[in-house]
Amino acid sequence: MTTKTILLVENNSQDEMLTLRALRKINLANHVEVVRDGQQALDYLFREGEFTGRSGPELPAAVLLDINLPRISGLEVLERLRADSRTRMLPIVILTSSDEEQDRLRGYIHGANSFVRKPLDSSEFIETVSRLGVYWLAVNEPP
Amino acid sequence: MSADKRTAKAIEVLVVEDSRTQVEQISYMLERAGYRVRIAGNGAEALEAVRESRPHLIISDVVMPVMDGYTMCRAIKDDEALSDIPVIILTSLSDPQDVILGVEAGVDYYMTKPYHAEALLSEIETVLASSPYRETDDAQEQFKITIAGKRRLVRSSRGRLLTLLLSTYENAVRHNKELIEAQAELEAANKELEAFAYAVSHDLRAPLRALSGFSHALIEDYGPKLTGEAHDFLDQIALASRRMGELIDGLLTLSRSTRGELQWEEVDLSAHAVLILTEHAKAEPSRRVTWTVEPGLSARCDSRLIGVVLANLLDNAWKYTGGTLEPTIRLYAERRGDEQIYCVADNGAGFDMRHAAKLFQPFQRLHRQDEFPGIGIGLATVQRIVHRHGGRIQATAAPGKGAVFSFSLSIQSGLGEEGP
Repeated sequence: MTTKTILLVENNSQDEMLTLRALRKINLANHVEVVRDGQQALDYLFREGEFTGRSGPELPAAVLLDINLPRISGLEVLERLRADSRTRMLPIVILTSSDEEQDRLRGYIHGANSFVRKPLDSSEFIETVSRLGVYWLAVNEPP
Repeated sequence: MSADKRTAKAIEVLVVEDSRTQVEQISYMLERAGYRVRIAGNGAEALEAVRESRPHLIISDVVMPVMDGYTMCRAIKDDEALSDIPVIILTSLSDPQDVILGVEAGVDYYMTKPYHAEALLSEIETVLASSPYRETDDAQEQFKITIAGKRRLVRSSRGRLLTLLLSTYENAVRHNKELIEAQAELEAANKELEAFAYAVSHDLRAPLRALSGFSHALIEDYGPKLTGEAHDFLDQIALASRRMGELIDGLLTLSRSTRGELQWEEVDLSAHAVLILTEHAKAEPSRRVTWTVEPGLSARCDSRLIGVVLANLLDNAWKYTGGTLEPTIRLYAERRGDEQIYCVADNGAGFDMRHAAKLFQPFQRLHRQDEFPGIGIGLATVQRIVHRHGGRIQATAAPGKGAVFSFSLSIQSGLGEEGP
């Protein structure tokens, strides 16, 4: 699993720090690439813009995608990834503060593989993020 | 218009009204528009005043002590010397019978309460500008009218009937317009509220996660270096952010309880309740609570929302029996009249019925945080959901003797009220 990565699309720097800290505890932090808005996420995945010719595997093992993102929203990112043959099957996990039913339904309608609410409680947060890391990097078999 | 009025002056309005505040309000409005105002406290005083000197116009309330507005009006219209003084009756017009009473009393115009100053002033101008209507102008006739399912024989002239109907119709049209506007405003406000709740759900949680996450990280990573009260202070930060999180969740549940369409279906309330209580028992195995749920309780309602109702009531029962020696919680149904009432009863801390009015208001609590922690949103949410189902909820309790919350889910006949 040395070549496997997770792409974290996160606009909130504090959530980013807490997520990376949780993954560091289980030695997975160096498997994570971080981008901070929807445009960057698309550029990273399609190797365009600032990510033209980037190193690393073609596609990450999974994308952890927030919904509220600057420039291009998470749902739109999702829609564009599903419309492109290169990323149609890429595992995408929506990871968000929202527990709005409409967000969850829209996420699944647009083709998310999973919808995970970021817990408020710090222990639960660490637990959830670690599980996600282990599951998508070690347990799940990518397409 | 007011300039003319001020120079023309001497236009005198007799206001017949027993409520001092209403008198103040209406006199202020009329005097500002340049009218001279006289006051009478009831119909009898008004008659005396009118006979003493004639006003140009009478504006009268209906319900007053000694003599009501209709009786006074009839007396004026029966007096040949006074019958041409126009009489405007201020009424809430809540009953179609009012119109008939007005016709019989010879009322010239209706003005519905609550009125807008502008509407009333323009009505007055219209009344004063039109030629006075005399009882003798055309012949009295008898009309057979069916109103509110009852047949009535009304004595009036065609002219008066028509004038009164037109004024009633004008009022109704104005009210309808106001209602349509109010409806649009309400819809806009609801949309805003939804947008607000959505923002709360997304944006207010993130900083809280940072607060609790980083204080947690500090303890984990630098715990040994922290001395003295440092740990207590960090605990307080964690505690406060958890409480804030609960508040946000509560607010969202409260706002969601009034949003969206109800999904009506047959719901197994007993199953819901058993699930909730089993969870509590699992979470706190040290508590020995005897609970009984009447089997087979079902109702037509929104499953998700009724889940919120039962969860809140049973959570409360669980919480407030925390200090009881042999705690019991019961869910059962009773028949009151033709209505099914569901009851959640416990033998816990209860509360003083003197404070019952606060029970269902958001953020109001009947217990201190150090007795029973909480945020005071649960019962407000419960009440809203029950009301949305056309039902009612009430509570009976006594301090130290437990509480019973009873709710219905239909509108057939209300709790504590006579059936239809």
